[in-house]
Amino acid sequence: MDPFSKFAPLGIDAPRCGEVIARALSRGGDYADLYFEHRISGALVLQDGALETVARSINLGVGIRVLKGDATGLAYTEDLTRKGMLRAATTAASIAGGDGHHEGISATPVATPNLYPILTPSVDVAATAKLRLLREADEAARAYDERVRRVTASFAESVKDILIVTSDGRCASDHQPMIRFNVQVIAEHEGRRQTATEGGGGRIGMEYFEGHRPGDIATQAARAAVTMLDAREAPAGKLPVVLAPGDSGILLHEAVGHGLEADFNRKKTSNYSDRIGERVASELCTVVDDGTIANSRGSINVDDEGHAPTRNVLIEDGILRGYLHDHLSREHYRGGAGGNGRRQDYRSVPLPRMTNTCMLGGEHDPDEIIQSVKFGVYARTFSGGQVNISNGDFVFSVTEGYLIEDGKITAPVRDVNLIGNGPDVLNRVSMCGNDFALSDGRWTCGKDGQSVPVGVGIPTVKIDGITVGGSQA
Amino acid sequence: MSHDKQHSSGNDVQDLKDVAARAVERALRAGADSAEVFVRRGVENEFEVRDGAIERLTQGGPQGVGLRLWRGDRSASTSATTLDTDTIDRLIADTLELADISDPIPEQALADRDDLATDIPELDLYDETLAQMSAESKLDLLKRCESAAMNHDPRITISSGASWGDAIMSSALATSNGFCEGTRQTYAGYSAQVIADDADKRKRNGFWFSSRRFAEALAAPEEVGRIAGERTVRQLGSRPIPTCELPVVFDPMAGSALIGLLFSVLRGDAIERGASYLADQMHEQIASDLVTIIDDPTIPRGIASRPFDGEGLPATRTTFVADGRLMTWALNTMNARKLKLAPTGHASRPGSGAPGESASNLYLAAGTSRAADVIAGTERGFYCESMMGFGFNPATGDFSRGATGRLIENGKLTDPVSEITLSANFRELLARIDFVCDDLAHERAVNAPTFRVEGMTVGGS
Repeated sequence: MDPFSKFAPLGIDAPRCGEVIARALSRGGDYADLYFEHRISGALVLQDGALETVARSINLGVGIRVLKGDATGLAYTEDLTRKGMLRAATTAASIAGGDGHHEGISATPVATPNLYPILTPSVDVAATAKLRLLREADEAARAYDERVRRVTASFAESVKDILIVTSDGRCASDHQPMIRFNVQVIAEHEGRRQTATEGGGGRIGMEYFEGHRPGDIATQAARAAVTMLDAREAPAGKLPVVLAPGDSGILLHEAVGHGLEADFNRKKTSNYSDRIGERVASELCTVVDDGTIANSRGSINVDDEGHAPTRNVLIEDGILRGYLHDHLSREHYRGGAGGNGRRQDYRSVPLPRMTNTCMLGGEHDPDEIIQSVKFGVYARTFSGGQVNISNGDFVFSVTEGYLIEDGKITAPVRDVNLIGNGPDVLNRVSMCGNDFALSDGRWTCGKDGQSVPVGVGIPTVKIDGITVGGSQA
Repeated sequence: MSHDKQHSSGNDVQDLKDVAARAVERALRAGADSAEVFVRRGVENEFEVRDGAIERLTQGGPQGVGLRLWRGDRSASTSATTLDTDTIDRLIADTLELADISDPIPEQALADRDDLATDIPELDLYDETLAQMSAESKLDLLKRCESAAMNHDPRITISSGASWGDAIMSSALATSNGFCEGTRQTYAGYSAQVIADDADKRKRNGFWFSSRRFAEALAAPEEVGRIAGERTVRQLGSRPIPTCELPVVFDPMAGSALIGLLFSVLRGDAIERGASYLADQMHEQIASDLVTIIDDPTIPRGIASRPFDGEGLPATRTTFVADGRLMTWALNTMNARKLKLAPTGHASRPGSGAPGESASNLYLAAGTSRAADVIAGTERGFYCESMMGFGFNPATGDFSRGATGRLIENGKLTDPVSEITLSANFRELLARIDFVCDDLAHERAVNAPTFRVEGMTVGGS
């Protein structure tokens, strides 16, 4: 397919892009690229049975970037006329202070895979069909238990078309669908309240809901909210923690993922800087960042700098193997795998970012892992995490957690924060399950004010000691 | 660096009011029963300096339109990154089609005409000189700031960089029941972050900033750099402490995060859905009597001041908590109607979608204690300087977050501490505030003076 086809009706073609790139390099920049984005997103929110929110937004613009050494000039505009783009190119060009000349571009299409095969794109489906899914969720949550008081079900979708044209003669386009289905339940009993959220999605079509019934998703949310009504105070202090498969992969995202993004290492601000080849985790840990997993929320057919996605091994049997690169850091390190240059939108610069960050499965039976713990915490769902890149301290917040007593999962515990230090915690991974699971399309990663969709995956994992922030000292 | 003069001129507000008013008219002609249009346009600049050289410049002229249209009691919201007439017309047609899908929600109607602001206060939010400020002077300021941070202490070896951001924005809001007003606002701010090497290959980073409506009011770069350096080296050697119960003194930066969390459970959206642990606590004592929480959108030059809210209601000072007693929620029109209360002027105006609820300049009112005396009077405690993570459940008030800071021993700040958690239920946390200090400063949108919580659980080694 011609990469320009989506934007051709706006007068965007190879000669026009060549002219803009020539202007962008007119002050002596080393490299320039254009990133066109057209994004339509929509949301339906069913609030306690009434369709309260019906929303749609349309974003269209171009980001023009010029690199000179390690320095970046970015100008963006929503004015896609020749004049508007040339004006923005002149601004971006000024990052280089000299004179330059560029011959124009060849615009050779980059070969890209099709990682999001879809039978029924959600945008082609009438709102009434999506509303039926929301009503099914609403009814199932209410039917679960009389303590369920309020139910919010939402269907969010977007399609993003991008076109990337570079001064080194490449061009690439992608059509990126995304669905996020979410159910939030509030339960109340004898003056106590609890809330729980469940959801799923990814770069998928409506066929997803044949295997993931909205009623089942809602029942999970209702079950968690009602269960957590009886949660007791969590313990405080350093304890063994068993992480459930799937969403617990957020541990990897915070404990190692961010610290291996090469911009931090280029600036030597990460605690993983200059540590390639060193042991940073127990030998049970092999961690990959894989942008090629079919239909996953973090997958991409092409990154936002026009490179095909790859499967990058970050940690192999506990040894640090590689960083995540964007164009700038690859130039700096004179090498490295491609496919991790990502940006929130045309108004933002590309940065090295994660795609789907996963720990590979091990050989332990999950039950055996739980049975090995005398007193500890079992963590099932999370509200988010954060890391301090420099010292490696990271946190993640458990929303549905349980005590493990004498090898058995027992009472639910109230929301609790876990804190640890990246290499220290990964060195304490003592058992790794054979039940690897990928998160079901719910995570968004924030960095430098930019949000991008990501995936995480992990099997059941036991950490011998991590600090649990409960209130029972 | 080129500026589009038209985008930063004073007439832009009038232009935008015309764009918004015309869009309202066209929506009504296209079949809407009522309409609300929000438009904005501006210029944004960012610069980043690292190791004394420019590393990044970003410039753009963001613009956008947000529509809410009604057919009867059914409504939909749409937005686009354009102010082009043809696109707005297509958006109007789309919005009306979407409105027909929605359920009728009478509470979602436009704000009542009688509630709308009529006198728009002049809050001095626009710095006429900012558009003329040269890139060179911004870069010079960043270089001075970075250099002050790097030179603060020989143990500081790496710069993460110093960055500048400014914005010159105009916006207008028009409704079919007679509101049509605009505002123009400026913002300028910068920060620096540096790193020192610690034992065990760990690094310690410290950060400081200044942000203001007017560039002339920004703190001196040498001062910002010095504080960034100071906040870096004082973490050297930090480690966890054993799990225990301790009094916790929150510095203004860390304490303001708790005030922000409290606001999240005062929002009408959380109250109406029963998602807040405070939902049935109106007029109850929810905090120690030292706690008074105020939101004031009318502070001249205030970083989060606004002359009217996202639905056109007047900006007024609100006391949410007076001497520990809960006085009011933060309500937009829809949630106020659902709760059968009056709206409080806290409607936010997101880039897309219907109004939510947001605070303006929110703060814990100053008390009478002196921070030095509170520390001196704490025999053993934790002085919290920053927190990390998302550990707060609004429905239960359970709070658990990572923290860094310093130990207080015999009334003095001693060893640096990191990799610990602080936890408490918010009910108890607020009730146990036993000192509020007199050092309130309006540095950010949310502010607090130094305060102490009599006891919290520290999860550590």
